Amino acid sequence: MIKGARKFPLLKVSDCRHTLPLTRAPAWEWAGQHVVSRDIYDMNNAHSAQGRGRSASTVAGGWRGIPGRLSFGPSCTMRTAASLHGTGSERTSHVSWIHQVPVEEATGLLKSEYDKAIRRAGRLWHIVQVMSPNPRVLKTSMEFYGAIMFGPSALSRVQRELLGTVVSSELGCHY
Amino acid sequence: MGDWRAAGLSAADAALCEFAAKLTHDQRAMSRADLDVLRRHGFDDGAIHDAAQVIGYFNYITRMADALGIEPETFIQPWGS
Repeated sequence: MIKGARKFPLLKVSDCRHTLPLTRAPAWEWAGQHVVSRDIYDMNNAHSAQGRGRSASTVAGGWRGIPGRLSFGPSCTMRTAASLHGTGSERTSHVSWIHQVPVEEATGLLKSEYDKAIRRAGRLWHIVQVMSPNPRVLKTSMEFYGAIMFGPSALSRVQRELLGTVVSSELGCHY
Repeated sequence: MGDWRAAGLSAADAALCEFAAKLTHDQRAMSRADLDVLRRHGFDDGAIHDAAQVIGYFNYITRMADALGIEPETFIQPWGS
């Protein structure tokens, strides 16, 4: 048991800045926040046969919040989204080494993808915005992410988040 | 790295994580035996497929972040700070 495991994630991913304490942000909101807390892990296993968590995994939870018994209230999401919305200047400042289309300049398919991302997460994450040079690829990438991480699966949500956290950790992803 | 090894995961979930670590670091060394390990822990082909997809996705998306120099959002602090 790692220190502070009840409050902090089961998996400590020190090199991946996008792992947030559950007390600060919803766990599954977006790719950046891949955190599995001890509480959630134990809760999931306690309610599922053989610790597999299958029952929770097959509930179509959508993008916001956690399906089934893995409960993070929408209030957490809303509060976080509001507090994180940032300033206009933040949204237009550089977020990567390539140019990305600012929110206010987006049109067509890109605007539609930006709008969806903001509705979903309350803000435009850099990983979304960086794909703005190719809106069709952005759309496809987001759909793939949604399907594999949030869609019906033989793996539980916790197991999928575990895998994401381990990979990010093993690779020492700076983002 | 490897905190998950000490995190008290179930044997099945630890096997999943081991699979993820190997595929991430040493994909050319993957073999049928790796899948047999997962099967012994109760994962069927559907679960194994989805695991590979998730692992592949995170290998992809982290490379996107690193290749293009995506800045972490300013409100996010590294662990331990």
